Amino acid sequence: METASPAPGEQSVPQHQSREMTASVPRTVHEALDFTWQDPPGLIGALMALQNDTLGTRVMGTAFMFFLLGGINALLMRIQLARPENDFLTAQSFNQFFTMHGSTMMFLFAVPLLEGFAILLLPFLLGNREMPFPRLGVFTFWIFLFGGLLFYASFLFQEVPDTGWFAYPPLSELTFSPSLAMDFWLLALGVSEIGAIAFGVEIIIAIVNMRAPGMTISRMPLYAWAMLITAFAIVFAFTTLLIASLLLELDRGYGTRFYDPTGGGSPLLWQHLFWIFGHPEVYIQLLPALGFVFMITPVFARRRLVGYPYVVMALLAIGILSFGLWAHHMFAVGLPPTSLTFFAAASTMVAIPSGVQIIANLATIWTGRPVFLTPFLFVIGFIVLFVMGGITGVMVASLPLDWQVHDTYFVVAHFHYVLIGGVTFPVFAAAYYWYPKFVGRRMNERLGRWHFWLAFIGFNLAFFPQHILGLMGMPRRVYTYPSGLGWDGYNLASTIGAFILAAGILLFVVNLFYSARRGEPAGDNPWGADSLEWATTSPPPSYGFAVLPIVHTRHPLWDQEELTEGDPRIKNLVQSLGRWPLTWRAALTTTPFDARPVEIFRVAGPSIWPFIAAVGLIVVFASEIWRQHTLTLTGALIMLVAFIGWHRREPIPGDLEEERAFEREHGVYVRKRGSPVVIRNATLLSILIVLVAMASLWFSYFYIRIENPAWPPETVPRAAPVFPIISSVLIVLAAAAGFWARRGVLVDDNNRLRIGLITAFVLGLGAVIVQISALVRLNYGWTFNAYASIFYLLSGVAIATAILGLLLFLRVLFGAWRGEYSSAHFLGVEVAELFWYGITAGWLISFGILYLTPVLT
Amino acid sequence: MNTPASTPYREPFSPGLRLLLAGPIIWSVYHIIGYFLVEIACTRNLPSGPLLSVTAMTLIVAVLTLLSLGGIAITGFLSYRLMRQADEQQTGVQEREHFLGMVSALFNIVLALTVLADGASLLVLGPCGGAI
Repeated sequence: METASPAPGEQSVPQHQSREMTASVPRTVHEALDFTWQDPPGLIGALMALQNDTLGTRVMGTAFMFFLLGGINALLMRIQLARPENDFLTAQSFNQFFTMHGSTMMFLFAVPLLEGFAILLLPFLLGNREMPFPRLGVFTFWIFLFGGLLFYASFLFQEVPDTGWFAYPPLSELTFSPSLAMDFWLLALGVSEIGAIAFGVEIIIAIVNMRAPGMTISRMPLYAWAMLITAFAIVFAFTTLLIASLLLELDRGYGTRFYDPTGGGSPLLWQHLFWIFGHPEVYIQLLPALGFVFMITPVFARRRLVGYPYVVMALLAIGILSFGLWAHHMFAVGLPPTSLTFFAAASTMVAIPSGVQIIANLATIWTGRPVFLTPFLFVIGFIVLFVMGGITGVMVASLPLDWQVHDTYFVVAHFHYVLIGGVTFPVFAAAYYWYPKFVGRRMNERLGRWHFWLAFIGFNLAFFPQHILGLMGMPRRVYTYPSGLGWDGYNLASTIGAFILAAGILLFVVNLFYSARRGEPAGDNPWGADSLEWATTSPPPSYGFAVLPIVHTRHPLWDQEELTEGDPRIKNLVQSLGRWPLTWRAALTTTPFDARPVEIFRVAGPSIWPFIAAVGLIVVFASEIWRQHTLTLTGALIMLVAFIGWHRREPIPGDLEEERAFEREHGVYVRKRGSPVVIRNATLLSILIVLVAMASLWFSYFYIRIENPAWPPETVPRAAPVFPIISSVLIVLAAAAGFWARRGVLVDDNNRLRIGLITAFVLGLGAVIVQISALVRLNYGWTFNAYASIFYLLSGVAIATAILGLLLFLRVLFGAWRGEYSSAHFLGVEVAELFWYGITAGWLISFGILYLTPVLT
Repeated sequence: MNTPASTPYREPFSPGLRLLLAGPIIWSVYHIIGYFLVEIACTRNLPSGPLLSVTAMTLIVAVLTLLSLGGIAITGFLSYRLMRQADEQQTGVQEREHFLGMVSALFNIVLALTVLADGASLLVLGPCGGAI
């Protein structure tokens, strides 16, 4: 395949394209667009700022700040381990630092940073103007920041978590961790986990429904593929972790017995749930990093990527197989050997798609004409280090070896090769690569090279000796060791390496600030890159693209002379969108596969309510640490008010006739009150999250059941199925009534809509009342044993989601009374109905499991 | 909903996506059920009986392995056929289905190997790996 791009740094071929793209747009239009899209000024404006570049940079900056804090924790640990029998740290503080280090890097650095990158990059990369839910983005940023600060506030209260980043019970249970430290860990990090899921939803919808016209599923940039798979993995994995954390917090604060073996629970249940999250978590970090690598390699190898479909397959395979590997973290807990081999096999198999990724990279470099500038150096570093981490990964997937090196420094070395080599190096590559786009200046090359070599040498010096230490038997998480075991030199080398690595990172920080003022002006496309973000100016305008690009190939800037040429209808549409509307923030939705235009919709503007909602949420979680329930309720009330304000209807400027004319001319809908496509998909994702949460509880139920010889335990009477049968019939009938109501609105029969909604509400309410009365009649509480705990919780979650569904019905009923819905506008009805279907499915399965499976076994 | 004079494009559902999802679903179901059956068979807390015996569970897992392999093989074949039928050089639906078919066919090869490796553990280690 021939080389398509100029040498990075030599020529900026695509610069003419950004000018041509906007040449047909008058200057006044740019000014009007900028006025409409820019963030509001002042302090209050800063709290509301929701532009994707502002928000993405804030998330990344905050995550990087936590990275530095986590790094300081690591350096303190390395000082302690530099020599034997050191007393720099006490055992207790060492435990605290390794807990804070791991938790910070996993929850507050890697995932938020990668999501921040996505928020920043995706609208530009996909050729659109914004993310679909900017206000949700604001809310998520603030809860991430508040959650992280609350976590570190544990130092102020001298309640620093010390049970490791995995918080295994029984150590993390109230008996062995009676202080508030674990509550800080569970609740503060819980907030940031909610944030991760919310960003995940936004990323999925942006990639599925907000790509430039013509960017079909087979032309998507590989970074978009990687983020799509990652975001789905986040939704599944983080929801499971939230449920695991909920169970542990209930055990600690409310006396349930999920992880308590004396009550029929099992500490191993936590390990299962935690690693169902924890193993995919590694790939949640790795996949976006691979996405960076696949964007950067072709540009610097100056040729197209070898094996695009193979790489997509490999990304998918890694994302999906990662959910089948969780028990390989549990090889030493006593699972049956055949079970273990299931997981060993899957763990080994994930090496195949990982290998495909590396081979695709190597083949691209081998057949290209590589230019070794700083971003590419970090990619090369990634390949070397990730291969080493991958090989030790295959080694620890093997049961006999894992049993030998389990909980030794060999494992520490392995996962740092994967996480620093496989994730942090590509992150640095991405930082050097995209910095010029968003700052307008290139980062200093000399400082960049120094950074790379210090990081590469320092990293290897720090972590390679740890393989040897592990094989020599040095366990992880020990705060000191006696001399004379042959460990001293390796530990000292490791500490020196850690400081060299830190020096490299310090240079990076210096470079960030230095280059912002003194860096060489970048131009629009300093690397001669192929993807759409380089078609904008550097830094890009607040609205991204005035005229959206039309994509015909996987490398639009290399292959297309013009970015606005194409199907006349689409060309006319994107040109018109460059001129109208100018008074509201318009973005385009496209179809998921072929990226054909569907709607012009209004993206939400700045509002203070997301910030207030974030304050409410953090009050809820923070007050639960001290069990201040009144404060918790206050926080919930703040959230409720904020959510109402958030979704309040606002007057929108614009002329209805103009909209109709635009629709008639271009064959797309104009949606000033939000996009039905986006909202429908968000509803489906919300249902998915609810069902994943329930599935985690179903898994817990069956696991606890296996751990108990009798089910229900002999001390608990078997629950009669009369109530759930009645409630289930009512729930299904409510769904049918909801369906009937929606059919009514489609034929503009408002009476039928109201009657259907009232019927659905009454039937649903009946189901809830019946099931609550079933719970009230039980003669034991949820603290009685693990069976009782899971019985109450699963019932409670099903009931709570049904109440949420009823509130939605109530809201829709209110709208129906005000005549808000018609055959032209029925989105609210559809959302309530879809959500109720999800609730019905969860309800039937949950109560089927609770009441029927004891009979069957 | 508002209807523009010129009806917006409505995208037909993709057969390629259906195939792309089928393989992972088969593998996920197999992996979870297989794991739970082995866990149940090899735990000492359950009553013994013809349906819950270790041998019976092993047999069920073995049959599940074969069924999953069959399902993945069929999905892989259908994906390959889709890829061959759709023309890569065309734009739109043809190009997309060719791509999805290819990705799905490749993915099913990896999944088949994974199921084979999972199932082989039963043959190599025997029921419960000699744990009981």
